[in-house]
Amino acid sequence: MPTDEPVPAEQFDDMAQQRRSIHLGMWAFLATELLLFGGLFAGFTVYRVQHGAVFAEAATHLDLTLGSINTALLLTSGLTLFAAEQAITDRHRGTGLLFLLATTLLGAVFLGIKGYEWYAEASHNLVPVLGWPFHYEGQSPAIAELFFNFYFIMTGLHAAHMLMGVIALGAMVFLVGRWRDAHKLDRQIRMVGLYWAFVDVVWIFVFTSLYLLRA
Amino acid sequence: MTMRAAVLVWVALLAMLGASLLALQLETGPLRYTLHLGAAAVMAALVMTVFMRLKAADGMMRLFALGGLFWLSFLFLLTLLELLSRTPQAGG
Repeated sequence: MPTDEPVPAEQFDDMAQQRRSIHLGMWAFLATELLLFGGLFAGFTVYRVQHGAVFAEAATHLDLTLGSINTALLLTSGLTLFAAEQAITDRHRGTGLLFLLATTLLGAVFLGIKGYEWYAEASHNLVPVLGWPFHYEGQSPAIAELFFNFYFIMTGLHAAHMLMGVIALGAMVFLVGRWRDAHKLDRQIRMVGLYWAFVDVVWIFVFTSLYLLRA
Repeated sequence: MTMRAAVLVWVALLAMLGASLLALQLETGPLRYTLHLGAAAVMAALVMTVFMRLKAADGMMRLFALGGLFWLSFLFLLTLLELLSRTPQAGG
């Protein structure tokens, strides 16, 4: 295991400056991501205010139990990734690997459950995309269709971010397993941790807006 | 940030989720919706503070993090101001 002092990249004066730059860069990236999701949430808010009753009724067609389980899974994955970061910082390779695998598994299960939810909604003809039949029994089907458009775009964009996160976690499992440069791993796992926690924060609002603001 | 603090935050997050789900028993209306959105805001703040380590971050990092929220608040403020101040026009 390498224990040598880390050497900064040539554009940095020292490691502290390099670490700070990496963190600031990641936060700037996350701010742009926030505005990407923010635009979607702002659009949803406009229609939620205008068609409150129909949106609230349409939300009752979502599976609250599976949504709640997924929320708990994602919150738990935040803890396991935090534990992985701590273990890697403390140079406990085995523990770090274990918690990384647990986080990856939790993320994969989340995506599996989300996929099952989409499948169930497609079975009930509630997917108004790709020219698929949309059949809604409640009031104002055209407005309800708008709700389901938002639902699939918001959960789809979030799932795409989750998928990227799971791939990044898989890469970290490989890198931690190889354990070539502990200092570098330390920096890499922090970036993945920031990204994953951001995806966690976005889901909290996706879940609240779509599943909980129901009739 | 210690592991103990992270575990406590995780417990708090699950408790907030449980409380938000329990609030579904209340009558549908502004109070219930405020509780759901308030719980979401607290949960997001906890994740950002502990899991994203903002509590231990320096001033510049916090400024970057809050910058995103600052611009997002403009987006929502201006959108809602326009939306909620609309007056219905006679004849559609």
